[in-house]
Amino acid sequence: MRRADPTVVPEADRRQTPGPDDAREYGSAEMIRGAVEEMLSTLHGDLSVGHVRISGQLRDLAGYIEATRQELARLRPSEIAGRHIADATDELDAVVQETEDATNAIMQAAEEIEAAATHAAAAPGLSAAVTKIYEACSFQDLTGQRIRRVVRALKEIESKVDSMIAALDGGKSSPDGRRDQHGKPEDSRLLNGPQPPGDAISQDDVDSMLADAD
Amino acid sequence: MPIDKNIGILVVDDYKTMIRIIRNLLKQLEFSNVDEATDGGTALRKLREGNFSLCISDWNMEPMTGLQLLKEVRADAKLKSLPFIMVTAESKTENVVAAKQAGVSNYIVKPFNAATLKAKLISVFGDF
Repeated sequence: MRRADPTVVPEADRRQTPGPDDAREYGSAEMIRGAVEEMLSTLHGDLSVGHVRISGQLRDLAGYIEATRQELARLRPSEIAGRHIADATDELDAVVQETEDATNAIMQAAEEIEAAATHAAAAPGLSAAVTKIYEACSFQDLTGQRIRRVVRALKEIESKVDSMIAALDGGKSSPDGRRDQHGKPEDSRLLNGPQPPGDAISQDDVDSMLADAD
Repeated sequence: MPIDKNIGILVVDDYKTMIRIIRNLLKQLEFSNVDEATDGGTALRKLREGNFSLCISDWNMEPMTGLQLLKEVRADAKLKSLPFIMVTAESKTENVVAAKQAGVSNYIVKPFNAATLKAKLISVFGDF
């Protein structure tokens, strides 16, 4: 009588596994788990200890993926995209609008002073002061550009979160299609915006570069 | 011969406050014939249809950037010699190089002051 190989697990002793039809009901993580189980269910005949070890590791992997998916779902990513980022971009848009309104009010006052100063004895001094006000008001343009870059970054994050949600749901929900993807201008790599202090080249540097190229 | 301060100047920027600032500074220099555009497409149309002697443009605009506007101007038979001053927050070396290669007449980095604007106008038109 042939002695049974102690390293082989007879087919009859292997655990029952869900069929492939069950796995197809689920999203991406479940699909991976289902594929693992399906693969295991196709194994026929006696298994070696090595096969059992591999099957155990694959089950652990599927379980890890499922646990990660549940952990990510607990973070409620739909709130990040649908509420938090939307609120943040709305607030930033409001900042830009309010600074524009305030700047226009300042400019209006400065223009009125300049008009009134035409006939005043102190006209030169007033005119110089008004000029400084005009120059200072350019802050609204620069802050607006910086804020616009932040909004753009937030919308990019929102898009990626939407994609992540779609992947976790296995395609049941699709990324938010509201985002209007403008085609990037061909010189988009040159759109760096205002630089941090110390990184921007000075007007003197610009003038030198233009002069050198002549 | 001193420049005619009644020349047409087109100021292009997607921020209306910046257009207003530049317009006021030009007015202080006695240039009052100033028109405006808030995007490159409108600016290009105005330049082609109008009679401008100078274009002052921002860079960072959409969908047409100031650099693209400059290239369109230099490619246009009527506009190719139009003085074009870029006024922009784009302050990297590569930006200045790209603008120079595209044929910019001068380049002002934001924030700027009235004296700088005057100096660049003098560089384009001569002393006034």
